[in-house]
Amino acid sequence: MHNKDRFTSKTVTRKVQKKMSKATEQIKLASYLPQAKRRGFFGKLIKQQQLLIMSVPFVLIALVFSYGPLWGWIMAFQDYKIGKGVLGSSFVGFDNFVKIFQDEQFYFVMRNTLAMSFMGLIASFVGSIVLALLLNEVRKTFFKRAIQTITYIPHFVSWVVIANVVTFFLSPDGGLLNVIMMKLKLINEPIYFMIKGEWFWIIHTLASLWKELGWSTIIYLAVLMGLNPEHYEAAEMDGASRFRKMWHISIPGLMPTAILLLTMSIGWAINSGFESQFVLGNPAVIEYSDVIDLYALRYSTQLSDYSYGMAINMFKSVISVLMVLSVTYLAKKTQQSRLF
Amino acid sequence: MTKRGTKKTLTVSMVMILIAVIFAGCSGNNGNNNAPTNSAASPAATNGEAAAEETPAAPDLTPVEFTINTSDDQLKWDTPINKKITEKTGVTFKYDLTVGDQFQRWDLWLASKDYPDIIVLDPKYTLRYKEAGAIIPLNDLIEKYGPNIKEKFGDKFNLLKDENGDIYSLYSVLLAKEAPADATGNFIVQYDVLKEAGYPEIKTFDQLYEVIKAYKTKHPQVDGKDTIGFGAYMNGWVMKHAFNNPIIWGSGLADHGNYTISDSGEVDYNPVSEATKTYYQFLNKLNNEGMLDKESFSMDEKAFQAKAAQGRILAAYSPNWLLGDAEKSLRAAGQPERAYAHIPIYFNENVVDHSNSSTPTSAGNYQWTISSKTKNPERIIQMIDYLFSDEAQVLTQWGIEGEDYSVVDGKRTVNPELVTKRQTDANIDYDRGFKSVGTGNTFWFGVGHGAKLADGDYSTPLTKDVVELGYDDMTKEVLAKYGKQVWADFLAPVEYVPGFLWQLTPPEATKVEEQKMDDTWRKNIPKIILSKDAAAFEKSWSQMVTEIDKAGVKKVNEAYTKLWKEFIEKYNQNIAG
Repeated sequence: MHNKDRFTSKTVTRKVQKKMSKATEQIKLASYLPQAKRRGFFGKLIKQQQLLIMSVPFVLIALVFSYGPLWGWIMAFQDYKIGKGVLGSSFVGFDNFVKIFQDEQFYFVMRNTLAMSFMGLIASFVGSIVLALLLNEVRKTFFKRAIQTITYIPHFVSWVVIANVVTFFLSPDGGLLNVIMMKLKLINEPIYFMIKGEWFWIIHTLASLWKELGWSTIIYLAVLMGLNPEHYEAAEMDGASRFRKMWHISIPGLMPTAILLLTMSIGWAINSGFESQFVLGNPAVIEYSDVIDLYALRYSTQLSDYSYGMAINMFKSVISVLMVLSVTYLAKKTQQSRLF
Repeated sequence: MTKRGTKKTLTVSMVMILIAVIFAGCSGNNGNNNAPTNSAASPAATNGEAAAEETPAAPDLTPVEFTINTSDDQLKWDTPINKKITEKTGVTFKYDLTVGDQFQRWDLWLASKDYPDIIVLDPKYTLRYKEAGAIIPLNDLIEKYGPNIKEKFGDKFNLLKDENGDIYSLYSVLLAKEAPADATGNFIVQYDVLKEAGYPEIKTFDQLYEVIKAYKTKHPQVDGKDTIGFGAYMNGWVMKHAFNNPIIWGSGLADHGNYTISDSGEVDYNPVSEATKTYYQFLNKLNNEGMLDKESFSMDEKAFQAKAAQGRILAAYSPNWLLGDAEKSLRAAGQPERAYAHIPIYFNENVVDHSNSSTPTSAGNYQWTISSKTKNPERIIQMIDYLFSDEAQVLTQWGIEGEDYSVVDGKRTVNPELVTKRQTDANIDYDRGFKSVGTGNTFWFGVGHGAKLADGDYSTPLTKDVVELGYDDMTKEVLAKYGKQVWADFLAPVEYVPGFLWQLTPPEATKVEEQKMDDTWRKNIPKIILSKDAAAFEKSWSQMVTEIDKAGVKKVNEAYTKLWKEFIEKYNQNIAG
């Protein structure tokens, strides 16, 4: 009896506090607004000077490291020679872009890049949300922490090591998976997984999922912990099962963050790098493992044809921006949180 | 509503902070990676500047440090021979180790204009660096500081020059008239296999197939692991040694890389040749009978060496350097019978072997160039000139008198301790300083095994007797069965060729086509060799040939033919003038 009393009184005080702080906020806002309106744009600038000063370093970093190097795009329209430099090389117009689109191999690498990016994206999106939801239901803190730690450790391991682990695991010459399947009499002779082109996307997706799953789960777990417990309590009162609670409270609570993260990763889809494909792939599966960055490496960097590489890079940037914009647009349509 | 709003802002800002942290982490890493190269070069440069002001007449011995690139992680400067070089020239090297793809690193250096003082490059990159003005012409410096370089090159000095008469790179010259005694055939067959078969003569692929098949049937496992009939390695740049070079050597041709050159000077891309088809049929047969390493296509040379060191590989194509220290570890592990016979094997009995060819210089993948950023290049030339002198030839090839060799009956003789150590200790040559960044076929600008110095004695300690001293009993026993003293006895006599195609700068205009051809070739090999039957093999083979045709093989062949003919013409002129 006594206990319950204390509980309610506490909740009440909390609620009152919240209301009060909201009220003060509104008062503050009210006192700013008319002033800002009166003084116009510059008034606003002066009012927010501290914020502006704080943002200066970040704007500078972006200018210097992200916008500054853009002048190099000139190379894409030149027959660039290292010795002559950007100023001395001759202009060739859109020749490099024409070359890209005339090369059959380019379409292959585009297909591979997009396929592996989206497979990875979906796997990690679904995988991490599911893992977060499951972990959220675990009541034993120790068990939960242990699972979390075990799943995110591979994130800190280099791709080279991961690739070696995968290759050894799948090796036809005494690899664990083959040995187990042989012992269970599932197969008669070992399968050479790493040279089956059509399996490469799947092997790559699974390896990436294993490496990054735990890491991408962290943020979702944080969001889930931040959800209002009252909702769960209310649902429990109404007799909702665990599954119902997940479906109606946890998932909708996750969605804004999930959509935001998805938007950003789609921007990276075509820029997904080449590390994993480079270390996991081999000449036998090159038709499926070759991605745009590896293609650029071989046909631009290795041949010292930097203009061609720059043209590929420009193309990539344009595609990235288009993809981010379209996802943002879709998110806006569906009234979800968005990047900008 | 407002509550949801604040929460949303909170989440968004949290995400932003996280991203910022991740990015900061990434960029921080990149910065760290680049830093050390700079700091290493600058103290050396300031040192050198001070030194350069002194009079150039007397040899300048003020300590100076130069950076030099290498991909050999075992090189160190702190050895007796290196110390002696420093004593004589004042120069010390700081090795700038490249781990992984050196070509990429060379590109990176070129783009960032940040290279070591001495850049060791292949011909292709020497040209690129020259075009970019990253390396300096050496003619005047050699004229001024290089009497020994000129003397050793002699009538071959003109061969150093490019089409404008400029010298941009230095490498060793070959003065030998005899074949080196340590040369070996490029195919390897395990001693135990030969022993079981009663030491038969193995000259053709068919004979090889018979012996390894018999052995593998009898011994399906070695030390509890599956026996591998024939080893191969496809992942990485060494793949051409498993899938192109055996064809060249099997046909008894001189090694021009992925190309063959006919007597009339026509250059042809080898991977589409009939001989290649025959060899792939051989590999296909091995594979279908479970004798080819199951993992060949995703394995690199390190994995191959590891398997060889386990004693599981019965035979393979593997030049000595590619086999690495596998044999040393087998002997150290008390399994001398698992080491390898190094012999040439041919397509058939009638092949005439011209593969034991040599060039007058070793202008190959190790050309020393001097960066335009170096403050005192004359010190580098002085040092290289010292290395070309007879005194340094003895120092770098024979070692230090008393410690590594002694003069017996007026002849230099290697000390027995060193001979035994070389047999068991894989690092001895690094520890003494016999190894350096390559200069062609040799270390330290050696003039070739079998060449003689002004004193009439051999320039290197490599004679048949010395080579034999390095063999273990098992090796001697096997050789005795064949009536030979050293592996070099299996080889054909040396033939001199003006040069090898891979030493020339590849044609610029067809580089994209060439890359396409190589890509197509690499991509198709597994399909061809893993074919289940003859029909499938035929289909995969013709598909590859069509694809390579489409990639422009004709154009590339023509470009190379032109290049080769020009080279031969220039060579003849040079030697004459």
